[in-house]
Amino acid sequence: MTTSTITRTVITADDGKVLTNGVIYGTEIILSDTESPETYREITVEEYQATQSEEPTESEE
Amino acid sequence: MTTAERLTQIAGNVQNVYDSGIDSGRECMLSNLDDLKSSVSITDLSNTQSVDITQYGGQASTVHDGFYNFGADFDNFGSGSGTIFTAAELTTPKQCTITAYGNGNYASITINGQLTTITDYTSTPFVFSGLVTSPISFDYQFGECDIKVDAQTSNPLPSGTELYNALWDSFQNSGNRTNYRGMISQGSSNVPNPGSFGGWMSKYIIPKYVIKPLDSYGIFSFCENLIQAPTVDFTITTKIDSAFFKCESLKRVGPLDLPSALSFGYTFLRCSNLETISSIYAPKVTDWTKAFMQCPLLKNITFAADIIANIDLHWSTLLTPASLTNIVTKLSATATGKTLTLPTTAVGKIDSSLLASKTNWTIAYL
Repeated sequence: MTTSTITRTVITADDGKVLTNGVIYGTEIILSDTESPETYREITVEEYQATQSEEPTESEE
Repeated sequence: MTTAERLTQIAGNVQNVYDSGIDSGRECMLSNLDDLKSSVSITDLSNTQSVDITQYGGQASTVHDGFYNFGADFDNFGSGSGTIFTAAELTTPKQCTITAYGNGNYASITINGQLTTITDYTSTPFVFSGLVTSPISFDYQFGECDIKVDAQTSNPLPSGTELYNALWDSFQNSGNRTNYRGMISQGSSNVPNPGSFGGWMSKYIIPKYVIKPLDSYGIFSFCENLIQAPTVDFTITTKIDSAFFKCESLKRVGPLDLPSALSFGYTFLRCSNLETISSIYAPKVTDWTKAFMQCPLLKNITFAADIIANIDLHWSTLLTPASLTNIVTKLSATATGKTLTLPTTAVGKIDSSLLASKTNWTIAYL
Protein backbone atom coordinates (compact mmCIF):
# COMPACT_ATOMS: atom_id res chain seq x y z
CA MET A 1 0.00 0.00 0.00
CA THR A 2 1.18 3.44 -0.82
CA THR A 3 0.06 6.48 1.08
CA SER A 4 0.59 9.95 -0.32
CA THR A 5 -0.15 13.38 1.04
CA ILE A 6 -1.44 16.07 -1.27
CA THR A 7 -0.52 19.56 -0.25
CA ARG A 8 -2.54 22.48 -1.54
CA THR A 9 -1.76 26.13 -1.06
CA VAL A 10 -4.65 28.20 0.23
CA ILE A 11 -4.58 32.00 0.23
CA THR A 12 -7.11 34.10 2.13
CA ALA A 13 -7.93 37.77 1.68
CA ASP A 14 -8.10 40.24 4.53
CA ASP A 15 -11.55 41.39 5.63
CA GLY A 16 -13.17 43.65 3.07
CA LYS A 17 -10.73 42.58 0.39
CA VAL A 18 -10.89 40.25 -2.60
CA LEU A 19 -7.97 38.36 -4.06
CA THR A 20 -7.43 38.43 -7.78
CA ASN A 21 -4.89 37.62 -10.41
CA GLY A 22 -6.84 39.66 -12.92
CA VAL A 23 -9.01 36.76 -13.98
CA ILE A 24 -9.88 34.81 -10.86
CA TYR A 25 -11.58 36.45 -7.88
CA GLY A 26 -12.08 35.04 -4.40
CA THR A 27 -11.82 35.70 -0.72
CA GLU A 28 -10.28 32.27 -0.29
CA ILE A 29 -8.51 30.48 -3.09
CA ILE A 30 -7.08 26.99 -3.29
CA LEU A 31 -4.31 27.29 -5.81
CA SER A 32 -3.67 24.75 -8.50
CA ASP A 33 -0.34 23.00 -8.61
CA THR A 34 0.90 25.36 -11.31
CA GLU A 35 0.06 28.60 -9.52
CA SER A 36 2.02 30.79 -7.16
CA PRO A 37 0.57 33.07 -4.47
CA GLU A 38 2.69 35.90 -5.80
CA THR A 39 0.47 36.21 -8.85
CA TYR A 40 -2.42 37.35 -6.66
CA ARG A 41 -3.10 40.73 -5.12
CA GLU A 42 -5.81 42.19 -2.93
CA ILE A 43 -8.41 44.66 -4.13
CA THR A 44 -11.35 46.21 -2.31
CA VAL A 45 -14.86 44.86 -2.67
CA GLU A 46 -15.81 48.04 -4.48
CA GLU A 47 -13.02 47.53 -6.95
CA TYR A 48 -14.17 43.96 -7.48
CA GLN A 49 -17.78 45.03 -8.04
CA ALA A 50 -16.67 47.55 -10.60
CA THR A 51 -15.25 44.72 -12.68
CA GLN A 52 -18.54 42.86 -12.87
CA SER A 53 -21.09 43.26 -15.64
CA GLU A 54 -24.32 41.37 -15.48
CA GLU A 55 -26.25 41.92 -18.69
CA PRO A 56 -25.51 40.06 -21.88
CA THR A 57 -24.83 42.14 -24.90
CA GLU A 58 -25.09 41.08 -28.50
CA SER A 59 -21.35 41.32 -28.85
CA GLU A 60 -21.03 38.60 -26.22
CA GLU A 61 -22.82 35.93 -28.23
CA MET B 1 -67.48 42.83 -34.38
CA THR B 2 -64.38 44.95 -34.55
CA THR B 3 -60.97 43.57 -35.40
CA ALA B 4 -59.85 43.90 -31.80
CA GLU B 5 -62.95 42.11 -30.55
CA ARG B 6 -62.48 39.34 -33.07
CA LEU B 7 -58.85 38.83 -32.13
CA THR B 8 -59.80 38.81 -28.48
CA GLN B 9 -62.31 36.11 -29.31
CA ILE B 10 -59.65 34.13 -31.14
CA ALA B 11 -57.31 34.43 -28.19
CA GLY B 12 -60.17 33.11 -26.13
CA ASN B 13 -60.37 30.11 -28.42
CA VAL B 14 -56.72 29.40 -27.77
CA GLN B 15 -57.43 29.75 -24.08
CA ASN B 16 -60.19 27.18 -24.44
CA VAL B 17 -57.87 24.74 -26.16
CA TYR B 18 -55.41 24.93 -23.33
CA ASP B 19 -58.07 24.86 -20.67
CA SER B 20 -60.19 22.05 -21.95
CA GLY B 21 -58.71 19.93 -24.66
CA ILE B 22 -55.01 19.84 -25.05
CA ASP B 23 -53.82 20.77 -21.63
CA SER B 24 -56.63 20.66 -19.16
CA GLY B 25 -56.48 23.01 -16.27
CA ARG B 26 -53.48 24.91 -17.39
CA GLU B 27 -53.53 28.59 -17.87
CA CYS B 28 -52.54 30.04 -21.15
CA MET B 29 -52.87 33.62 -22.16
CA LEU B 30 -51.55 35.11 -25.33
CA SER B 31 -51.21 38.75 -24.63
CA ASN B 32 -49.87 39.93 -27.94
CA LEU B 33 -52.76 39.74 -30.36
CA ASP B 34 -50.81 41.34 -33.15
CA ASP B 35 -48.40 38.44 -33.12
CA LEU B 36 -51.29 36.03 -33.08
CA LYS B 37 -52.83 37.80 -36.01
CA SER B 38 -49.66 37.58 -38.01
CA SER B 39 -49.24 33.92 -37.18
CA VAL B 40 -52.66 32.80 -38.34
CA SER B 41 -54.17 33.65 -41.66
CA ILE B 42 -57.23 35.75 -41.02
CA THR B 43 -57.90 37.76 -44.12
CA ASP B 44 -61.40 39.09 -43.66
CA LEU B 45 -62.47 40.67 -40.44
CA SER B 46 -65.54 42.53 -41.70
CA ASN B 47 -68.73 42.73 -39.74
CA THR B 48 -71.91 40.79 -40.16
CA GLN B 49 -74.13 42.31 -42.83
CA SER B 50 -77.60 41.79 -44.21
CA VAL B 51 -77.52 39.76 -47.39
CA ASP B 52 -79.00 41.29 -50.51
CA ILE B 53 -81.34 38.46 -51.40
CA THR B 54 -82.44 40.00 -54.66
CA GLN B 55 -79.45 38.24 -56.16
CA TYR B 56 -81.17 34.97 -55.29
CA GLY B 57 -84.52 36.01 -56.77
CA GLY B 58 -86.03 37.73 -53.76
CA GLN B 59 -87.92 40.98 -53.87
CA ALA B 60 -88.34 43.57 -51.13
CA SER B 61 -91.18 42.76 -48.76
CA THR B 62 -93.92 45.35 -48.48
CA VAL B 63 -94.74 44.13 -44.96
CA HIS B 64 -91.45 43.57 -43.13
CA ASP B 65 -88.77 46.16 -43.55
CA GLY B 66 -85.51 44.63 -44.69
CA PHE B 67 -87.12 41.29 -45.56
CA TYR B 68 -87.57 39.69 -48.91
CA ASN B 69 -90.33 37.78 -50.65
CA PHE B 70 -89.56 35.07 -53.11
CA GLY B 71 -91.17 33.86 -56.22
CA ALA B 72 -94.02 35.55 -58.02
CA ASP B 73 -96.85 37.55 -56.49
CA PHE B 74 -97.09 36.02 -53.05
CA ASP B 75 -99.75 38.51 -52.01
CA ASN B 76 -102.09 36.74 -54.37
CA PHE B 77 -101.54 33.47 -52.64
CA GLY B 78 -99.19 32.12 -55.17
CA SER B 79 -96.67 29.35 -54.64
CA GLY B 80 -92.95 29.30 -54.94
CA SER B 81 -89.61 28.13 -53.75
CA GLY B 82 -86.07 29.35 -53.82
CA THR B 83 -82.56 29.07 -52.57
CA ILE B 84 -80.31 31.48 -50.72
CA PHE B 85 -76.59 31.06 -51.23
CA THR B 86 -74.97 28.75 -53.67
CA ALA B 87 -72.86 25.74 -52.91
CA ALA B 88 -69.85 27.65 -54.21
CA GLU B 89 -70.46 30.34 -51.62
CA LEU B 90 -70.55 27.80 -48.83
CA THR B 91 -67.37 25.86 -49.39
CA THR B 92 -66.65 26.98 -45.85
CA PRO B 93 -69.45 27.41 -43.30
CA LYS B 94 -70.96 30.84 -43.00
CA GLN B 95 -72.10 32.32 -39.73
CA CYS B 96 -75.71 33.48 -40.25
CA THR B 97 -78.74 34.73 -38.45
CA ILE B 98 -81.87 33.91 -40.44
CA THR B 99 -85.20 35.44 -39.59
CA ALA B 100 -88.37 34.35 -41.38
CA TYR B 101 -92.09 35.05 -41.21
CA GLY B 102 -94.57 32.75 -42.89
CA ASN B 103 -98.19 31.78 -42.96
CA GLY B 104 -100.65 30.03 -45.16
CA ASN B 105 -101.21 26.39 -45.78
CA TYR B 106 -97.56 25.66 -45.97
CA ALA B 107 -94.34 27.60 -45.58
CA SER B 108 -91.07 26.06 -44.66
CA ILE B 109 -87.37 26.76 -44.62
CA THR B 110 -84.61 24.18 -44.72
CA ILE B 111 -81.30 25.03 -43.08
CA ASN B 112 -78.48 22.51 -42.95
CA GLY B 113 -80.94 19.84 -44.02
CA GLN B 114 -83.34 20.64 -41.20
CA LEU B 115 -86.84 21.57 -42.43
CA THR B 116 -88.90 23.90 -40.24
CA THR B 117 -92.49 24.93 -40.85
CA ILE B 118 -93.10 28.64 -40.34
CA THR B 119 -96.57 29.67 -39.25
CA ASP B 120 -96.33 33.20 -37.81
CA TYR B 121 -96.36 36.08 -40.24
CA THR B 122 -96.98 39.00 -37.89
CA SER B 123 -95.46 38.80 -34.43
CA THR B 124 -92.92 36.08 -33.65
CA PRO B 125 -90.59 35.12 -36.47
CA PHE B 126 -88.63 31.94 -36.80
CA VAL B 127 -84.98 32.65 -35.98
CA PHE B 128 -81.91 30.54 -36.67
CA SER B 129 -78.45 31.62 -35.63
CA GLY B 130 -75.41 29.52 -36.37
CA LEU B 131 -73.20 28.10 -39.05
CA VAL B 132 -74.81 27.46 -42.41
CA THR B 133 -73.10 24.71 -44.31
CA SER B 134 -75.41 24.25 -47.30
CA PRO B 135 -77.73 26.45 -49.38
CA ILE B 136 -80.84 27.63 -47.56
CA SER B 137 -83.97 26.52 -49.34
CA PHE B 138 -87.55 27.48 -48.75
CA ASP B 139 -90.87 26.33 -50.04
CA TYR B 140 -94.09 28.19 -49.90
CA GLN B 141 -97.66 27.58 -50.98
CA PHE B 142 -100.81 29.67 -50.55
CA GLY B 143 -99.62 32.32 -48.09
CA GLU B 144 -96.83 34.71 -47.27
CA CYS B 145 -93.17 34.07 -46.60
CA ASP B 146 -90.69 36.84 -45.81
CA ILE B 147 -87.08 36.08 -45.08
CA LYS B 148 -84.13 38.08 -43.87
CA VAL B 149 -80.57 36.77 -43.67
CA ASP B 150 -77.74 38.42 -41.79
CA ALA B 151 -74.42 36.80 -42.50
CA GLN B 152 -70.77 37.34 -41.81
CA THR B 153 -69.00 38.22 -44.97
CA SER B 154 -65.90 36.47 -43.65
CA ASN B 155 -65.37 32.86 -42.85
CA PRO B 156 -66.36 31.94 -39.32
CA LEU B 157 -63.82 31.88 -36.56
CA PRO B 158 -61.64 28.81 -36.56
CA SER B 159 -62.19 26.43 -33.72
CA GLY B 160 -59.72 26.33 -30.90
CA THR B 161 -58.11 23.18 -32.20
CA GLU B 162 -57.90 24.56 -35.74
CA LEU B 163 -56.34 27.71 -34.41
CA TYR B 164 -53.89 25.82 -32.23
CA ASN B 165 -52.82 23.66 -35.17
CA ALA B 166 -52.56 26.60 -37.53
CA LEU B 167 -50.55 28.58 -35.06
CA TRP B 168 -47.98 25.90 -34.26
CA ASP B 169 -47.88 24.37 -37.74
CA SER B 170 -46.95 27.78 -39.01
CA PHE B 171 -44.59 28.69 -36.21
CA GLN B 172 -42.84 25.34 -36.03
CA ASN B 173 -42.90 24.73 -39.77
CA SER B 174 -44.85 21.54 -39.19
CA GLY B 175 -42.19 20.31 -36.82
CA ASN B 176 -39.22 21.09 -39.06
CA ARG B 177 -38.12 24.35 -37.49
CA THR B 178 -34.63 24.33 -35.97
CA ASN B 179 -33.91 28.02 -35.55
CA TYR B 180 -35.53 28.86 -32.25
CA ARG B 181 -33.41 31.88 -31.59
CA GLY B 182 -35.45 34.09 -29.28
CA MET B 183 -38.45 31.99 -30.18
CA ILE B 184 -40.71 32.67 -27.25
CA SER B 185 -38.78 35.47 -25.73
CA GLN B 186 -40.84 38.03 -23.94
CA GLY B 187 -38.81 40.61 -25.70
CA SER B 188 -35.27 41.86 -25.77
CA SER B 189 -33.17 43.74 -28.22
CA ASN B 190 -30.56 41.10 -27.56
CA VAL B 191 -32.57 38.27 -28.99
CA PRO B 192 -34.10 39.56 -32.21
CA ASN B 193 -35.80 36.95 -34.30
CA PRO B 194 -38.45 38.08 -36.73
CA GLY B 195 -41.47 35.84 -36.49
CA SER B 196 -40.92 34.89 -32.89
CA PHE B 197 -43.56 35.16 -30.23
CA GLY B 198 -43.03 38.35 -28.36
CA GLY B 199 -44.68 39.01 -25.05
CA TRP B 200 -45.32 35.47 -23.93
CA MET B 201 -47.02 35.98 -20.58
CA SER B 202 -48.29 32.49 -19.88
CA LYS B 203 -47.10 30.14 -17.17
CA TYR B 204 -46.77 27.40 -19.76
CA ILE B 205 -45.68 26.88 -23.34
CA ILE B 206 -47.30 23.91 -24.99
CA PRO B 207 -46.14 23.58 -28.58
CA LYS B 208 -47.60 21.06 -30.99
CA TYR B 209 -44.23 19.55 -31.89
CA VAL B 210 -41.25 18.80 -29.71
CA ILE B 211 -38.90 21.73 -29.94
CA LYS B 212 -35.60 20.57 -31.44
CA PRO B 213 -33.44 23.62 -31.89
CA LEU B 214 -30.10 24.07 -33.52
CA ASP B 215 -29.91 27.61 -32.19
CA SER B 216 -31.45 28.09 -28.76
CA TYR B 217 -30.07 31.54 -28.08
CA GLY B 218 -32.58 33.31 -25.84
CA ILE B 219 -35.25 30.76 -26.60
CA PHE B 220 -37.29 31.40 -23.46
CA SER B 221 -35.62 34.59 -22.29
CA PHE B 222 -37.75 37.09 -20.38
CA CYS B 223 -40.62 34.63 -19.97
CA GLU B 224 -41.01 35.88 -16.46
CA ASN B 225 -44.23 34.00 -15.73
CA LEU B 226 -43.12 30.66 -17.08
CA ILE B 227 -43.22 28.08 -14.30
CA GLN B 228 -42.57 25.03 -16.45
CA ALA B 229 -40.46 24.90 -19.55
CA PRO B 230 -41.71 22.69 -22.35
CA THR B 231 -39.89 19.55 -23.31
CA VAL B 232 -37.00 20.47 -25.57
CA ASP B 233 -34.76 18.13 -27.49
CA PHE B 234 -31.41 19.90 -27.21
CA THR B 235 -29.38 17.12 -28.76
CA ILE B 236 -28.42 19.17 -31.84
CA THR B 237 -28.15 22.49 -30.06
CA THR B 238 -24.82 24.25 -30.30
CA LYS B 239 -25.77 27.54 -28.69
CA ILE B 240 -27.88 27.87 -25.57
CA ASP B 241 -26.78 31.29 -24.40
CA SER B 242 -29.42 33.34 -22.59
CA ALA B 243 -31.91 30.51 -23.11
CA PHE B 244 -33.63 30.97 -19.74
CA PHE B 245 -32.47 34.53 -19.11
CA LYS B 246 -34.80 36.17 -16.57
CA CYS B 247 -37.20 33.26 -16.32
CA GLU B 248 -37.94 34.45 -12.84
CA SER B 249 -40.75 32.00 -12.08
CA LEU B 250 -38.95 28.82 -13.05
CA LYS B 251 -38.09 26.59 -10.12
CA ARG B 252 -36.91 23.49 -11.89
CA VAL B 253 -35.22 22.76 -15.20
CA GLY B 254 -33.94 19.59 -16.74
CA PRO B 255 -32.71 17.15 -17.50
CA LEU B 256 -30.72 18.99 -20.16
CA ASP B 257 -29.01 16.75 -22.69
CA LEU B 258 -26.64 18.97 -24.65
CA PRO B 259 -23.99 16.81 -26.26
CA SER B 260 -23.20 19.43 -28.92
CA ALA B 261 -23.39 22.66 -26.97
CA LEU B 262 -20.26 24.77 -26.84
CA SER B 263 -21.56 27.98 -25.41
CA PHE B 264 -23.48 28.52 -22.16
CA GLY B 265 -23.28 32.28 -21.59
CA TYR B 266 -25.95 33.79 -19.37
CA THR B 267 -28.10 30.71 -19.83
CA PHE B 268 -29.75 31.02 -16.41
CA LEU B 269 -29.00 34.67 -15.70
CA ARG B 270 -31.52 36.09 -13.21
CA CYS B 271 -33.46 32.89 -12.75
CA SER B 272 -34.17 34.23 -9.32
CA ASN B 273 -36.37 31.35 -8.18
CA LEU B 274 -34.56 28.48 -9.81
CA GLU B 275 -33.90 25.77 -7.24
CA THR B 276 -33.07 22.69 -9.23
CA ILE B 277 -31.31 21.84 -12.45
CA SER B 278 -31.86 18.14 -12.38
CA SER B 279 -29.11 17.14 -14.74
CA ILE B 280 -26.85 18.75 -17.30
CA TYR B 281 -24.98 16.67 -19.82
CA ALA B 282 -22.80 19.10 -21.74
CA PRO B 283 -19.31 17.70 -22.17
CA LYS B 284 -18.12 20.24 -24.77
CA VAL B 285 -18.94 23.54 -23.10
CA THR B 286 -15.94 25.84 -23.14
CA ASP B 287 -17.08 28.43 -20.61
CA TRP B 288 -19.47 28.11 -17.67
CA THR B 289 -18.54 31.33 -15.89
CA LYS B 290 -21.68 33.26 -16.76
CA ALA B 291 -24.16 30.41 -17.02
CA PHE B 292 -25.54 30.60 -13.49
CA MET B 293 -25.28 34.30 -12.74
CA GLN B 294 -27.72 35.55 -10.14
CA CYS B 295 -29.38 32.26 -9.32
CA PRO B 296 -29.52 32.83 -5.55
CA LEU B 297 -31.90 29.98 -4.76
CA LEU B 298 -30.17 27.27 -6.75
CA LYS B 299 -29.72 24.32 -4.42
CA ASN B 300 -29.56 21.24 -6.55
CA ILE B 301 -27.50 20.78 -9.66
CA THR B 302 -26.05 17.65 -11.14
CA PHE B 303 -23.44 17.51 -13.85
CA ALA B 304 -23.55 14.29 -15.82
CA ALA B 305 -20.36 14.90 -17.76
CA ASP B 306 -16.91 16.10 -16.80
CA ILE B 307 -16.46 19.84 -16.52
CA ILE B 308 -13.62 21.01 -18.73
CA ALA B 309 -14.04 24.79 -18.54
CA ASN B 310 -14.03 27.57 -15.99
CA ILE B 311 -17.20 27.53 -13.94
CA ASP B 312 -18.62 30.05 -11.51
CA LEU B 313 -21.42 29.26 -9.09
CA HIS B 314 -20.66 31.81 -6.37
CA TRP B 315 -24.10 33.43 -6.70
CA SER B 316 -25.74 30.22 -5.48
CA THR B 317 -25.16 30.27 -1.75
CA LEU B 318 -27.67 27.49 -1.02
CA LEU B 319 -26.01 24.69 -2.97
CA THR B 320 -26.37 21.42 -1.13
CA PRO B 321 -23.38 19.33 -0.07
CA ALA B 322 -24.47 16.70 -2.59
CA SER B 323 -24.44 19.25 -5.40
CA LEU B 324 -21.09 20.65 -4.30
CA THR B 325 -19.62 17.17 -4.16
CA ASN B 326 -20.95 16.40 -7.63
CA ILE B 327 -19.45 19.58 -9.04
CA VAL B 328 -16.00 18.97 -7.64
CA THR B 329 -16.11 15.30 -8.56
CA LYS B 330 -16.87 16.20 -12.16
CA LEU B 331 -13.95 18.60 -12.52
CA SER B 332 -11.91 17.15 -15.32
CA ALA B 333 -8.70 15.43 -14.33
CA THR B 334 -7.01 16.54 -17.52
CA ALA B 335 -8.06 20.18 -17.85
CA THR B 336 -5.37 22.69 -17.02
CA GLY B 337 -5.50 26.31 -15.93
CA LYS B 338 -9.20 26.13 -15.05
CA THR B 339 -11.05 27.59 -12.09
CA LEU B 340 -14.11 26.61 -10.07
CA THR B 341 -15.63 29.51 -8.15
CA LEU B 342 -18.00 28.68 -5.30
CA PRO B 343 -19.78 30.76 -2.68
CA THR B 344 -18.10 31.13 0.69
CA THR B 345 -21.05 29.23 2.15
CA ALA B 346 -19.56 26.13 0.52
CA VAL B 347 -16.45 26.26 2.67
CA GLY B 348 -16.28 23.12 4.79
CA LYS B 349 -19.11 21.32 2.93
CA ILE B 350 -16.89 19.41 0.53
CA ASP B 351 -14.71 16.52 1.52
CA SER B 352 -11.21 17.89 1.95
CA SER B 353 -9.52 14.91 0.31
CA LEU B 354 -11.75 15.35 -2.74
CA LEU B 355 -10.83 19.01 -2.93
CA ALA B 356 -7.16 18.23 -2.46
CA SER B 357 -7.22 15.69 -5.28
CA LYS B 358 -8.12 18.31 -7.87
CA THR B 359 -4.63 19.69 -8.05
CA ASN B 360 -5.07 20.83 -11.63
CA TRP B 361 -7.90 23.20 -10.66
CA THR B 362 -7.97 26.51 -8.88
CA ILE B 363 -10.88 26.56 -6.47
CA ALA B 364 -11.98 29.98 -5.36
CA TYR B 365 -14.57 30.96 -2.77
CA LEU B 366 -16.18 34.33 -3.31
